[in-house]
Amino acid sequence: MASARSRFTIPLLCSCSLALVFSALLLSQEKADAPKGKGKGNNLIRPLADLEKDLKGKLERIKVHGKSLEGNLEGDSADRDVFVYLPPSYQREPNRRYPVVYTLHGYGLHAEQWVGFANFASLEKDVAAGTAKEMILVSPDAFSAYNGSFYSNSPATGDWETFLAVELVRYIDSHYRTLANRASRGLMGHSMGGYGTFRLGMKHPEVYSSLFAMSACCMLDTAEVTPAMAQLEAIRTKEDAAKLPFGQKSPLARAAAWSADAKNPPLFFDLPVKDGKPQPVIAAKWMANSLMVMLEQYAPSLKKMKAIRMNVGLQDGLLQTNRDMDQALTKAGVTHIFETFEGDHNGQVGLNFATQVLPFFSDQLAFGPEAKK
Amino acid sequence: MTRCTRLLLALAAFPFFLPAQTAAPGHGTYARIKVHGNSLEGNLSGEPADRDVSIYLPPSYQTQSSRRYPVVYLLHGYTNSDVGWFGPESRGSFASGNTMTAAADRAFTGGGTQEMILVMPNAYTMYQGSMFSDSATTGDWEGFIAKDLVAYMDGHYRTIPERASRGLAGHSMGGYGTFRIAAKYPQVFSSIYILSACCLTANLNPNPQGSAAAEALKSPEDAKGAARGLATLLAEAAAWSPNPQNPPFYFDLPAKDGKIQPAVVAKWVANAPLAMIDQYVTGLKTLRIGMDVGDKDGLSASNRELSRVLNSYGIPTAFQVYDGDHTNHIVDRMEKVVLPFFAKNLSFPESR
Repeated sequence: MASARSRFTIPLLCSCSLALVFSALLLSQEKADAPKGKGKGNNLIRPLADLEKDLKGKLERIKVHGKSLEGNLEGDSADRDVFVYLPPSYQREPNRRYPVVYTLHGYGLHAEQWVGFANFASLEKDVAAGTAKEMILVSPDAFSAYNGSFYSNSPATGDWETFLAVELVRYIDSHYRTLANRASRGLMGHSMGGYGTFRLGMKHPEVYSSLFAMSACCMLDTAEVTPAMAQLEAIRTKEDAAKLPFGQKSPLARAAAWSADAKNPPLFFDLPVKDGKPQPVIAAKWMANSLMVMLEQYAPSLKKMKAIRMNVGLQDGLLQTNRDMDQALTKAGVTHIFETFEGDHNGQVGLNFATQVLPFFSDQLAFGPEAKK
Repeated sequence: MTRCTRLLLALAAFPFFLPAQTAAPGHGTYARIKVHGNSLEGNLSGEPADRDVSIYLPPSYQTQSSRRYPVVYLLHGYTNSDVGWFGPESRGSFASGNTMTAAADRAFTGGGTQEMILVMPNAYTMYQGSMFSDSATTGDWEGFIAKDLVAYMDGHYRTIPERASRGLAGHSMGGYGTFRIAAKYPQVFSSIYILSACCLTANLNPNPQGSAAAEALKSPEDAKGAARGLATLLAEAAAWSPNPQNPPFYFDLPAKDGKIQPAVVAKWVANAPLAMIDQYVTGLKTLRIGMDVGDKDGLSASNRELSRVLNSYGIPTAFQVYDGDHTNHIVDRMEKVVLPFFAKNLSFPESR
């Protein structure tokens, strides 16, 4: 993996992509610190063109229509970009079927950036080194009006749970040679995607059998009315929202995901603050979408998983909340592995994807007979 | 209680005789059976996973041996049980022989309401009510009703085993259960009716002293016969803030030594329908929903709010506020409004 990194070229993406990645840290409730080693940040997202250069497999960019996303009040497209990585043998062996790992990107990213951030190309090096097996990787784009859907089920953003767990899985299973069963289906994600991983695993244990949450966000969001939050009251229109600095939009995204209000145009959500006063009903809605709290209702779902793994960097502002979740899972009797590593929120994503995530799913998912060769 | 009902109840006590049951013309057949809940196994409260279930088969069930019927699943309120509706321990508006059985008989014979099977599981627990939630401590009551009980009914009775012919209704705690089970299992039920639902509003600021009486208890045994306020707190803690590491109660309370426990408060908040509703709109949109509340019921404001939020998402609620309190008209509402609601909204293919 280290050698793969050294070959990163200068990113073609503008510097705002760096802001996109780091904005994942601005999920202010959990008070993430600014990441260390900022200067290296530009190298974190491998441009697609570079990634594809030495790929032996194939990376397809497709559109998948989400019926569950139709009519979302914020006006996001129901036709979503989806990247599908097919391993080298996929073309050579026309009868072989593969497990699928669905991967969920973090807040502020597009799927395209996530493919380079996780670095899907690592799978081929892992397979060559014998640490992983060939599988299909899928990356749906959840970039929304406010930079991230939070993979929730909301009239404002659409029903992302059903789109991902039902519609996307059905589409992939009917258009690719997948092993179309739960035992051969994994789900993982980073930050907001780690949140989505737990959330979808809780609500759809019949779809996935293994979960890997990297540096998951949103363990307990009490919607505290900070000065920054209070300032968002001034945002009345989509134009106002568009002018906001990138890092300040995340409460808007969470409001759209967790406290939609069909009768409150043009933004169609309620903030946890109104006229400077905290809004307990809205705060309650945000809390109700927090993983630590959902866990009590959904522990039986998670207990059905074959394997759950989660990790977080020791220098990540989300360290404590992930430790809390680890303890809560243990308390609830949910078997899982929790690991910490030296690093911040973003710096080790590519390395961990190659050395932890891909080997994990290679161990846990059910592979067809061909893979045993 | 009619002689017939009394006879049937006597018979119901001896399941061996069940196949021999017959109903007089114009009368349905009542039986109380046991249904095993896989979803309730291993609950930390030690509640039996074999639950009493009241079953009402409509008058024609015995005479038309190949006819199939829609099923309405009914959920009773807190401190109540299935026999509080169907007898012999009928109470509130069901007292004095005016049981759910009698009300259903009236509705289905001469009342103009199409016949359905009615089912009510006993959710009376050691803390006087399961809250119909999904908890390691109380058991997965959502799964018990939406999966285990539905599978049992479809496997043992002449039901129409389809969503379109399956309804869910409940009163108070049962109205709460109706909302949350339908929100989580909209693929199982097609129509729901919520009567005077409890527990709709999230409380972010509970009284720090509110847990003191519960903290003073040494063991679940001490909770027997607890006053309603204390029992409610225990039932909600068992349902909403289970803690498998905290014997002998296996739950956490919202306050400890007079200090609020924010993590526990958050868990209770997350179980309030008005806090969770926005997550379930897609499923709720596929349901036909009826709801009502008495104008003298302290819960009328929160039920109005639930109706308003549902309406705001374009979900009609057929919401009615009637002259009454929390309990005094439930049996009438069941006969004259709720059963007709299901007759109108469920699918009755054979009678078309």
